[in-house]
Amino acid sequence: MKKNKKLKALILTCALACSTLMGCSSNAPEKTEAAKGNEETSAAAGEKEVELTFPCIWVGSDSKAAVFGQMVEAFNTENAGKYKINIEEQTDYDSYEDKIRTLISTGTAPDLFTVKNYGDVQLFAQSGNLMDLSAIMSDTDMSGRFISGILEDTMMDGTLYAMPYENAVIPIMYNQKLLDTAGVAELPTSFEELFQISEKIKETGIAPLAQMTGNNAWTSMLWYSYAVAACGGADIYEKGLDDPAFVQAAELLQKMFDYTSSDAIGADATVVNGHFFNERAAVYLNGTWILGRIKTEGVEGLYDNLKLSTGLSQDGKNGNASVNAVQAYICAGRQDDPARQEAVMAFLNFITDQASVAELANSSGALFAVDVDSTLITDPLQAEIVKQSSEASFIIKNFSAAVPTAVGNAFPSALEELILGDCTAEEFVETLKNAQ
Amino acid sequence: MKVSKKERLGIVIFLLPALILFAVFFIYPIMNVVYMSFFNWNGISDATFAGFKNYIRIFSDKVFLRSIKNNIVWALAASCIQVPMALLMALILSRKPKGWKLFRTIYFLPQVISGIALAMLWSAVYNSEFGMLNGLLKLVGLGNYTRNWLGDPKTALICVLIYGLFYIGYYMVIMMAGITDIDETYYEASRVDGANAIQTAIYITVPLIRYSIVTCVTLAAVFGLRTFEQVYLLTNGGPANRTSLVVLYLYNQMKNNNYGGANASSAVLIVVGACVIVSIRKLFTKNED
Repeated sequence: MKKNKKLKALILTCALACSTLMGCSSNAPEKTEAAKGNEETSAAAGEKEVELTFPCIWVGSDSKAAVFGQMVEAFNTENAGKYKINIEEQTDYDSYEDKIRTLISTGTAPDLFTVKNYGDVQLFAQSGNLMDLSAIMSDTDMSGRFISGILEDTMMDGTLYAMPYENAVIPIMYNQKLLDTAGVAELPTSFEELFQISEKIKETGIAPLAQMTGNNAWTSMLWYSYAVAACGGADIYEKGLDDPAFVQAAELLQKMFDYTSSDAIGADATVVNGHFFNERAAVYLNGTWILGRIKTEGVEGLYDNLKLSTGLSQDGKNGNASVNAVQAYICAGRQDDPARQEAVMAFLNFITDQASVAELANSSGALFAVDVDSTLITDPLQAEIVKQSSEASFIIKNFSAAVPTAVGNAFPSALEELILGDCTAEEFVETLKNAQ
Repeated sequence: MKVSKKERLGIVIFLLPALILFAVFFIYPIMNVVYMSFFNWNGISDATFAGFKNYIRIFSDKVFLRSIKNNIVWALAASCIQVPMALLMALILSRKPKGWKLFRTIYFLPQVISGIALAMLWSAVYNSEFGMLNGLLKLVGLGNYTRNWLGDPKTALICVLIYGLFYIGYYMVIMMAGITDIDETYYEASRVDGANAIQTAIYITVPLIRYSIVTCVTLAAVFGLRTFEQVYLLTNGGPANRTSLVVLYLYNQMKNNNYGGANASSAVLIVVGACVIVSIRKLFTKNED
């Protein structure tokens, strides 16, 4: 009896071990013929697989996590035995920024990482610890995938230290139902008319324009970007903050606060989103990533009532602008080994494949610096935003992306001073200049 | 008592780990902060000597001066309002009225709740469009007094202070522990002398928990000086820097990659903090003499 029990236990243990091993093998991604070929060639040549670490924020609940993860897995499978990307999951962006900064300052930059703004790219490049990615420019196949001019805009003294990847397109979104209630047929094309229809909308008890000054004052910063574009034109940022267009735009923004909700001062993105999602505000600015949330969190029918517009003109000039800004650059730590440099370039090449990027855009609602045919975008509004942006008179960066980090950080409190009457539009711009 | 050489060695060995940790994680960082405050550093490239420029810059910045002022207000409010409130509650609850354990738990509960959750709660209370405070004012016919509480420069600091001072549980528990240690014979003697509850509290309890009160006042002042999360989460220093505090100011300096300015403001905060602690100690020991 005792012997029988031991035998049974042995059989069950063997069965469990076999099933575990089989499970492991079935979980591993199947290698393609090319991958098997790569593995064999590398093994035959005695080459060691190049492994790159990528502390990545597109993980967990991030909207890009699923598809981006698949892209990395596909790259690893296709290049098995040759290259391997090891994703280090980073879920807290502030800690991630601190970590990257510390690693770069100590000369141990990760192989691959993302950077949110161009100011930080410039700062990190000064350390000499970033890999020169200029090879992207000389690879016509790869450089041809990007939106025109976006790579050139990223270069520093003729060197490309970062590859622009996620690119925000900021349309002006408005709720047609609320405009109809106020007897307004559509959003006008100039700021002068915007203030006229705002009066009408205000009379219906709705906040015409969603504004905020809390945190990074995101929505209001975007309104300021459109105002700056209208007052100064396509090359306004090259002229610098001394240009009177910045003061004129500040006056427009100040006036816009006459047509917003009473909690705009101090309001953060949650408050602003809440107003627009619940039909308490009629016109709103944000990136395309918000479309998914409008669908799921907005009141019934909001998504169907949503209409889009490009920039407004001022004094009959500079209308139909599109405010865009790179939301994420991919950088690489300096690599002295040519094999590792090759691995970095191969990975960047892989993740800029237009079909993969279209899939990433469809799954996340985000848009990218890679020029994707709008017909590949499944969401009709997202596709329209891409189309409108490509047909815009000119594309201009958002204010925060176009100025040094310190100026962008000074914007919210300077705006509050302007709105509370603590300073004039001239002094507002002066405060921003002093932050440089 | 004479300490032998062997015993002295034992004392040193036992003290050494704590001393090393204190030196590495406290003394060195403070000295480094002070040292680096004389340099310009963006966190990436090499630091360059700047002399007193960082100090001149922060002291000519109206936001920094306002932050120091707000910090002093905050520390005073914490010491002069929060601690007396906590003392009052400790005196009441230590008499063990009906349900005192429940109230002790209720008052202490916010200490174990996340600051983010509390900030969101207060943010909802103060919201001008659908907040509870404005709702209540409208309900009682005071609709004219409704406002954007956190967005109005006149009310923002007071509102944030109320949120900060509302939670007295921490100090209350310290003082209740002090009251529990008082010998019952003092109270018996006072009862024989015919003292009422207020007289017992003033002449027996408060003097005997003097050191607990000093500890609470010191802690309240220090916490007041280094407050960050309440302001960061509720107003982020706004509107127009009206509620800015020194820690928030130095955080913003770091966000701007100005580590020299951040270190200089930290050094000032350390000096102010040391002065406050010494002043409180002096104030209480002076009366003792």
